[in-house]
Amino acid sequence: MEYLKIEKTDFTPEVTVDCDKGTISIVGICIPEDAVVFFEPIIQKVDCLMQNKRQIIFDIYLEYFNTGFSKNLLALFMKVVELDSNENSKSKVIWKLEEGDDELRESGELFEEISKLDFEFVEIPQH
Amino acid sequence: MIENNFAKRHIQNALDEVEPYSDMFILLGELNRTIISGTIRVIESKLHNLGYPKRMISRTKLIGVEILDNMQKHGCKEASISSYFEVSLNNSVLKITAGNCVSKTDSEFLTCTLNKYNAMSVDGIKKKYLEQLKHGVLSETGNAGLGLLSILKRSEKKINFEMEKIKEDEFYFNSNVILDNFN
Repeated sequence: MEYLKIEKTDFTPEVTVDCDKGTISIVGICIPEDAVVFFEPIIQKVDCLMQNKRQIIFDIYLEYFNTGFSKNLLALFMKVVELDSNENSKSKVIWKLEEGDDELRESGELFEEISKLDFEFVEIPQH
Repeated sequence: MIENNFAKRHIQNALDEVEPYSDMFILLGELNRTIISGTIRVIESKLHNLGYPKRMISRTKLIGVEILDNMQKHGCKEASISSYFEVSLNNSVLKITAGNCVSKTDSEFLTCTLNKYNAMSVDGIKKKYLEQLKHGVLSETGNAGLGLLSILKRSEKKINFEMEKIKEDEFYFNSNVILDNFN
């Protein structure tokens, strides 16, 4: 079983990559000091993911993030788009946000516009 | 380290404004990742308790973290004067003010870049941000010159700034961003 889990810290998110299920989950605060280093193991797992599954499902629930993270997240999306076009598959992003958080919705819409990946926006009710 | 008169002056100015700021959060001193995330957490909690809408809280966090990130990554390592970061609120606006020491090279780069960006329209900034996000080259630490553009795009306002010389190769970079308060 190919599985990657990165535990969350005060400034980096919890990340899980499950090659059997074909899922990448990124949840939490995303302000790594060095975004390239942070994304390295995730990018490495994408090839293994695509070998096992034709479609990748992203589960993204970000609290806030810096632009270094944005740029690297987009690079990850674009890698999947490239693999999708080679494999004739259609990966998907489930972009979660707190109810009423239009600022984070707009950020997701920007990624959708650039990557052309299929995005589903899910609002999480707050109590 | 000498007394931070830049911060004192800005705080006094904020208190003297026609519509004084009723709430202020001020951070003085060194920055690291833990302090940055703790600062954002405190500001979020404050805005939430004051009843600010989710969008405004999120926007403040995203702009705030970009400013703090820039201060930590690009500030002078052996600064003569400490950095400061301030969020002030009144009924009309939310103002984020920051100050930190930068090198002469960074001072020239920031002045030139901010003058150029501040002269652009909101749409122009959005286009430039998209272009940089899509095609910008990553630095060794994964940045792509997006920080200032991100602040301008989210605030839809200019970044007000001044650069004051401290010594030959050290300048104090004061800046502020004003967000319309749609609480």
